[in-house]
Amino acid sequence: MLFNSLEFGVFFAILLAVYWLLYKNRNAQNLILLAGSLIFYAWLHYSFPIYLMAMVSVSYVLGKLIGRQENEKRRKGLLILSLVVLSAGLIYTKYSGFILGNIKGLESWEAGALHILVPVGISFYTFAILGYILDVYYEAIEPEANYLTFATYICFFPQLLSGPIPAATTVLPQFKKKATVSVNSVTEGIGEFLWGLFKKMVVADNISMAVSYCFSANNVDLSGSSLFIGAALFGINIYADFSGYSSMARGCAKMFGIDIIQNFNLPLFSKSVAEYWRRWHISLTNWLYSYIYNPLVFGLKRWGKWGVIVGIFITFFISGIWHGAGWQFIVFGVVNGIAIIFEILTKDIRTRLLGKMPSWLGGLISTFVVLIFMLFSWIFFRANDLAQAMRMIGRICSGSLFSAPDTFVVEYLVWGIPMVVIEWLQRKGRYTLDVDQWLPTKVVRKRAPKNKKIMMLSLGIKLAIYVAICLSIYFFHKKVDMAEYYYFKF
Amino acid sequence: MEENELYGQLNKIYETILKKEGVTVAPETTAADIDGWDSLTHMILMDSIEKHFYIKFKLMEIMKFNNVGDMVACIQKKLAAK
Repeated sequence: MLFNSLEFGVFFAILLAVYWLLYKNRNAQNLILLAGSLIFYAWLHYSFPIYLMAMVSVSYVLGKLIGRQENEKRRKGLLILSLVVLSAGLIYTKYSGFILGNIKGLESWEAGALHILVPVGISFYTFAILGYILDVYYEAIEPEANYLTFATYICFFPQLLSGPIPAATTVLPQFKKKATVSVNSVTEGIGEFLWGLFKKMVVADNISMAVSYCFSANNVDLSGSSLFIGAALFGINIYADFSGYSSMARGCAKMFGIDIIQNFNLPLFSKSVAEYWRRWHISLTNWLYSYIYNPLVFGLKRWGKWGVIVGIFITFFISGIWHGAGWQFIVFGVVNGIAIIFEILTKDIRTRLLGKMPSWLGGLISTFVVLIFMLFSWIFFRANDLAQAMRMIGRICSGSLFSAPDTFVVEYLVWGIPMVVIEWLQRKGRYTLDVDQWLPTKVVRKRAPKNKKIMMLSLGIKLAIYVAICLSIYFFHKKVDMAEYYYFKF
Repeated sequence: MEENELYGQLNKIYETILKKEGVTVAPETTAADIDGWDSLTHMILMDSIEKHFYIKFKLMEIMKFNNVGDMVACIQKKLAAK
């Protein structure tokens, strides 16, 4: 069931109504939410919820065992056992074909030959579960005693298929307290959902045709300039697709009274690669920072700066593998890690150089350099394999970069412009379609629940904007069969 | 050790590692308040603090620090146990 489908609309309306009818009983709300989430997941394949619930049950028991154990050696043993058992499914379904395909003599056992059914969203909820286990081990949280609460937290449908990866420290407690809803939270939820829907159906889906054209394995005659624009289009496409999904997930969750992390924060305007990763897929970056980078650098802290460098390299190597079972993803992760290491090693000289020019110019140059770098790294991300990525980069770096680009590709750039401009203008809002920031300061300050006139003014403007967004989606969405979300494959 | 003295010594460590003069940390200070104190310098700072006070942090202790006040409380606990 996709967010942008009619059956989801019906499913969501029924689930939301029943959920709020049960507002006096948190356990009953969780039960209905869990049942709804499993139906939502089973819509993709009947077997997916079985695997998911097995993971939930095993991690629930292991979390309790770790929490109870006082002997440090046994605790560590239980942690290792948990990490091995809980990541086994992910490694088997997603990576066994890739691993076997890279072992000499077993090349024929490539992913396709194994015919393994990969549960959608497995990387996301496996990381959520591993994060929970590690939080229990590090005593950041108590192991959850209520199975229903824990299962609802892991299976919560808005974040199940494509994140954001829910942190146990912030999201799990919300399934234990009384859920509340207000006019504000509902309007915010609808606003976030609609903006996400716009990004997916209008921007990402329209651009995807040009991206497929540029990244087609048969398209060997495209000029460097067309491929360059194709890579930029993919950057916009993947951002609109994934951040669109995250906005929809956040919007849905808000309507259930659950606040999940904002997964993107204007990454296209970052002034360094490190900043880019603090703004892109934030829940994954936080996860890698807490459970891979921090323990690694802690263990290597006597190495000083070099410990940090090794930590960054390994963290981004793992980030690359997380994204997919293929060398192009590993290269994608590694080049990003190397870029951040370069930024650390050249920090002083870059600060001196940028200090000699006006700050706006320095910022502009830095953003431009980061975008060009990301454009090249996205090629690895989207290419069918490493050889195709290298071929494309070779053409972009050839004389054909200065030839006239294919007009078919260029005209698709127009789809990304409104999204980027609106997000930039709305960067200080609580969410993209938040209009309160444009009301005079005095009006906003007076905006209290008692002040009905102000509330009605704000709601009226929001309603008008929401209608405009709905009309834009209706008129400009790409008329194709339901297009899946790019990050589902992860 | 007096709390004021401890904060004074911490300021000097932060100044050395972050290569900045006039760094002042307080109980409520977080990484967001100090330019240059980021995920890359954090563990280097922790290592310097350990060496300076002859103490050892556990990873889970570091992960639980919400601000400098939490860290100072942990340092004081370790110094008192010596």
